[in-house]
Amino acid sequence: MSVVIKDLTKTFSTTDGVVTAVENINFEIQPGEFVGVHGPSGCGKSTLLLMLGSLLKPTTGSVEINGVDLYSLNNRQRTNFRADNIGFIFQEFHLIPYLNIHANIMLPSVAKAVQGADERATELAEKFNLSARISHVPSTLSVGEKQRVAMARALFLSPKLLLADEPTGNLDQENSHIILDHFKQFADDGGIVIMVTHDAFALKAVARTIAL
Amino acid sequence: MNISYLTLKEISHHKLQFLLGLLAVTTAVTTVVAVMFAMRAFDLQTEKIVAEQEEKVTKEMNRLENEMRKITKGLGFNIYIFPEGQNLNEVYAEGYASKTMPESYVTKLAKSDIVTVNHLLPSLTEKIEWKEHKRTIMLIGIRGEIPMMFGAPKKPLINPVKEGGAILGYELHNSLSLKQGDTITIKDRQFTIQGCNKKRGNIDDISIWINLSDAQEMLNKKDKINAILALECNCSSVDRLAEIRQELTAILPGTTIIEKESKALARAEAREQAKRTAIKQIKSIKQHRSVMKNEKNKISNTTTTLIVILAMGFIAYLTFMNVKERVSEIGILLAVGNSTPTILVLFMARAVIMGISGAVVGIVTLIGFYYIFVDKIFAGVLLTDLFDYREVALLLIAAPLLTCAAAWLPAFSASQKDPAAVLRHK
Ligand SMILES: Nc1ncnc2c1ncn2[C@@H]1O[C@H](COP(=O)(O)OP(=O)(O)O)[C@@H](O)[C@H]1O
Ligand SMILES: [Mg+2]
Repeated sequence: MSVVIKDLTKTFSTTDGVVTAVENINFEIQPGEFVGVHGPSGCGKSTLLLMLGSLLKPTTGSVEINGVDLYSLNNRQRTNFRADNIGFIFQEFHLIPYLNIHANIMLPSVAKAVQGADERATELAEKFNLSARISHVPSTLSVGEKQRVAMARALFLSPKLLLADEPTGNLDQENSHIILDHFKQFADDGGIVIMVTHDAFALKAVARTIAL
Repeated sequence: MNISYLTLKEISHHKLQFLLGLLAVTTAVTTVVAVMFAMRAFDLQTEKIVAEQEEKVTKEMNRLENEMRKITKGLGFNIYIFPEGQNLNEVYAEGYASKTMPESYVTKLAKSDIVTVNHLLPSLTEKIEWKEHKRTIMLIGIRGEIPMMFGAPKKPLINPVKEGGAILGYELHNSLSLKQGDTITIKDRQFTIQGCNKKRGNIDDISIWINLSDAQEMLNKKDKINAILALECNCSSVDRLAEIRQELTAILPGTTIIEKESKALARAEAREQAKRTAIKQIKSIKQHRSVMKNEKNKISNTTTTLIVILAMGFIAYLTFMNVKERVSEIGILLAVGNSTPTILVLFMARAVIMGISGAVVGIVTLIGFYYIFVDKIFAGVLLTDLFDYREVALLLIAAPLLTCAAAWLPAFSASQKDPAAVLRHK
């Protein structure tokens, strides 16, 4: 599993004219790498991450994951590819307010049925130290816990690529540390983590940085 | 985990929002059913009014028929059947037929399945000199009514004369001061007066009715008659004489049939007229009610349509709000690998549940309403008269369909949300 980006550009046409969010980016990432993409706010980090995550079609250029050109796939194939290979973590957690922690962790099973989903969710809750909160709803959790739930959810379908957008943006150092450790471990186990951030503390944890 | 789990969880989380939507469906369903109830009740009322009117008409017709029978009894018959070869000029001049026919003719007629004639009266009439009182009279031998073999038995229109009895016309008993029970002699034969007729102003006033067999003996015409009087009561055909002639000559070939000037006929026609008027009246009631119904229909259709549209608009609004609240959820569902149609299904499932439960609540409410007010408003009206099970089934299908139609646009817009726009932190 590798990630290869070629001549990636994204422009938006707005009422004020064309905005270039990402311009002509090239890089290649190998399995086991934990990469930090950094740059000032508004430099196109989120845009890049969404293109990597098959959620935003680039204006030009290509994204190849494991040799598959994401944007040459049709919608259904791309959706399935996403379910099979990619996990997301956002600054905003995006937990579902009406589901308890256990159900939030197993949310990806709506997209892709898995055997033993309940047990897997329980296991992940344990791994992220959430067992005591398993039947609670997100609004009762601390931000650190919320981000760990989001992380557990991202890992639920065992992806090979983790994409994180400012994952420590809302966290204190202690909780940031816990999340970053989990990323490191994911990469050590052979996965790829691409984290976009402008957080200097978070960048210290990564093995390779790419500046935008 | 599946969509229905998510849907049910979401509903129980956003209870108020869901209940508002359900209330909208319930209101629409209740309106539709209430209007349906009202229209049914109106129809039932129409049926009742028409039935009452029809009963009144039937009663009136029976009354007229009875009255006519009474009148006809006094008026006499209106069809004459005369023997073969009888010269009608002579009949008109003399008032009776000179030729005779066998008395058995009348039996033959009575045994036939003729339907136009209901009453048969054979007679033997002759103008004679009543030498005992020096005057000319009509001597009429009658046998009373010959019952028809077929058809419902009818009340006799003429009372028979007993053997040895006589009934006198007005002019005779009046001028000779005779009364019931007196004895008279005609052609050396004694008769007891059985009855005295009222003034009729025609030849009946100088007639004497005696028993047919007495007349046959006196006039030397054993087993003979010279006329059959018949009352046809089915006046429906305009050309009734032709109709009756055809029927009668088929049984008694050669006989001559004429129609007597008849007040009964006029009565019958009046009765027919009354019947036509009554039928017209019922028709006009029905027409009036149907015009009223159309007007009511128009009003209730407008009301119903308006309420259904308002309910749908409200549901569309609520769904739109629901989508707006759940954009983050939509984004993450797409990010974890759900497809666009899944998002659509997520919101439509909610609409289906809202539609069905709204319809159920609406129907249950109305059934409850019916039972609470069964005595006050719905007296004598069965629930099944007001709506049937097919309509309930139809409502249970239509309500979720319309709810889905209302929710469609916001749900579709939800499925078209750009996950990138939702998930990018601003
Ligand atoms: N949908 C969009 N329409 C117009 N401009 C956009 C859109 N998305 C992003 N941009 C612009 O692209 C640039 C990069 O945005 P973003 O990727 O969110 O930056 P970062 O995540 O690095 O802060 C910004 O100037 C932003 O305003
Ligand atoms: Mg960003």
